[in-house]
Amino acid sequence: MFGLDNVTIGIAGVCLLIALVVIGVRVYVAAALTGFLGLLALRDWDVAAGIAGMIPHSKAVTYPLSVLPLFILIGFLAFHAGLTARLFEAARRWFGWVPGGLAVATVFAAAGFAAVSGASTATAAVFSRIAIPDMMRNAYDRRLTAGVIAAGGTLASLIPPSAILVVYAIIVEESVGRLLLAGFLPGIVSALIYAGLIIGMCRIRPELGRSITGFTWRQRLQSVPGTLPIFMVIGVIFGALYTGAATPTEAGALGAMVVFCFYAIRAYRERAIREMGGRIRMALMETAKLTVMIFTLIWGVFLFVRFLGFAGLPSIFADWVVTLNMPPVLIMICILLAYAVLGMFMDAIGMLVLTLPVVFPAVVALGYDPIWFGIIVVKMAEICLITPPIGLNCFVVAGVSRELRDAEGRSLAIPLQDVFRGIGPFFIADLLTVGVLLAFPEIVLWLPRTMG
Amino acid sequence: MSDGFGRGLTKADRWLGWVETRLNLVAGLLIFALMLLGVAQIALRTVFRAPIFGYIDIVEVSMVGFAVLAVSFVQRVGGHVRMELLVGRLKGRTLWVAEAVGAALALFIVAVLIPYSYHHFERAFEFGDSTIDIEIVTWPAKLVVPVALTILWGRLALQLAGYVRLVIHPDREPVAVPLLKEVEETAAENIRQTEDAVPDDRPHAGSGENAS
Repeated sequence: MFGLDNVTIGIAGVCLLIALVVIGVRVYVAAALTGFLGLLALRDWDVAAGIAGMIPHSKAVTYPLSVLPLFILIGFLAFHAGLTARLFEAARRWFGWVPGGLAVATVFAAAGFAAVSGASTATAAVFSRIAIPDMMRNAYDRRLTAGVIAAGGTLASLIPPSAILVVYAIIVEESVGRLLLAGFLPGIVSALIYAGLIIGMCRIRPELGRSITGFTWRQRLQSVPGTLPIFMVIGVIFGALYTGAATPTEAGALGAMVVFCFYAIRAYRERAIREMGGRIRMALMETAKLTVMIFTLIWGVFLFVRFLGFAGLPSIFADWVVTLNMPPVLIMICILLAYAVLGMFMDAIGMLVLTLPVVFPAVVALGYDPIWFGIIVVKMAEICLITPPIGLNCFVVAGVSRELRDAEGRSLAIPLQDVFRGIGPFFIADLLTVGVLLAFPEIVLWLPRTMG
Repeated sequence: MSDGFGRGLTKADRWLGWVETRLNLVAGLLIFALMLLGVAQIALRTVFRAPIFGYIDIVEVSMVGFAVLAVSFVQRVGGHVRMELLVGRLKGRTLWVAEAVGAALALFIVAVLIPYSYHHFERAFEFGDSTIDIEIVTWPAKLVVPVALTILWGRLALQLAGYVRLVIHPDREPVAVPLLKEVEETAAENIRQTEDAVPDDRPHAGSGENAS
């Protein structure tokens, strides 16, 4: 069209997409519209409209994607099943004795809960309700209190089940199972780095957070049964993925069933079956809403990807990146910085589906492993959840704290600026984690390589 | 445009919203059924060594129910992802013009998708297209796409009318349009969703506790 070559049309398409997204057009509309107009420019109306008409069905209805709603469902059911409070109690009995014990317990409980939930902000909200009153009662520094909860929430995206890792796997056509497994160790490393940081800070300045001691082994062991559903879900998902005995969808179904049964038992004991019905309905509505949002994003972006493929842009961009006279690690750092900036203004899944079609082939051409890159990018997206100006997790912690009161009725509110200040050390710890994963990619790749 | 137009929009919004909410619930129930099917598949395969024949076919055919059916529900509540960096700073008529442009663009692309996704269904219907293993006909699943997109088109048309009304009368109360959320409001929504996640009987502040 207009005598333009394919690459120029491709670049014009990318510019149009960026412009539409920046002016606030919904991402699925911007991507589908640009994809359609691009195909129209490269071919003709019938080809463009024919492809556009097929994609919503053909790209949404593939078996690997069926794991998504189940992972989302596990998370919503887990919130209603009241697993978090028991998990936190167990963590404080087992880890309370270390310097900053309650903060360390919060990190490990959040990591444990991440094994049944993929939602960072919701995890931060729940742990704000449980941990803030306890930490404030024990005179913990309020910045540390807020920082640890906001940062602890981010662990949900790395430790399976994680919806964002499934979306990444689908977009780049990698194995969902391998990618989910790859998130385990970096998630644990992140949690350990957070815990090490808290212990170090509290050892140097004990007034930040004291140890909680006095629990007997008997009391510690008594706290274990309450956490059983979480360990069962971890066992089911990890076992299924690692051995290949079940598909991720089947593992997701079993995981959701475990949490559902636990919830049903609790509701039966508390004679709250009717109430449970209402909450299950709410969980299903929320799950369906989030699911269709992600699927719509996927088919919209696949239409754009088809156009990019016709234009040949991804391979040309990849070739250009490879010929740059720069060390690959420097290019990688530039890409990660770009993600850090973009993530401040956009939802993580939206950011990934928009950028990966162009960025991913270049990353692979530079010699980086696709699974490793997925974990690093998700970690970057999570860092954005705790950085200003958006930093949604920080808003959540500040928001919940406003509702909380201590035993005497005094407000436990933590101002937003204190939450952002409290997150500082954890932000540095996260950068350290990214550095560790850059230097030692084996932390990410070892587990998926050994799977059956 | 009199305020009777606003009342008409409210009525249409309520009616369409009723349909959308039910479709979203159907999608949710399908997800629940997917969970039961997955558990049954594992149980039958491991215990009786008799997996459900055509399990993947059944999953793939039913997926369209939760992948596309509730697309309009999410549009109604403003749940589809977007960047609010610029639009979030706009106010009054400028904001409504920007929103109306976004809705018009969406209306256009969905209008293209409806007839061509219908052709996709028509081909499957005419040729008797079916799944590989148990040969379930695929046309009903393919028909869901143009149906869901038509409902979405209706929702977008309603939103466009709502925005145009506000462009003409920026001082009137917005109806039939999702409103922009501040970060605080998004956070508050997350907080509300997890409100009942912490039971009152939590085993809190266990005995034997000493702060040292």
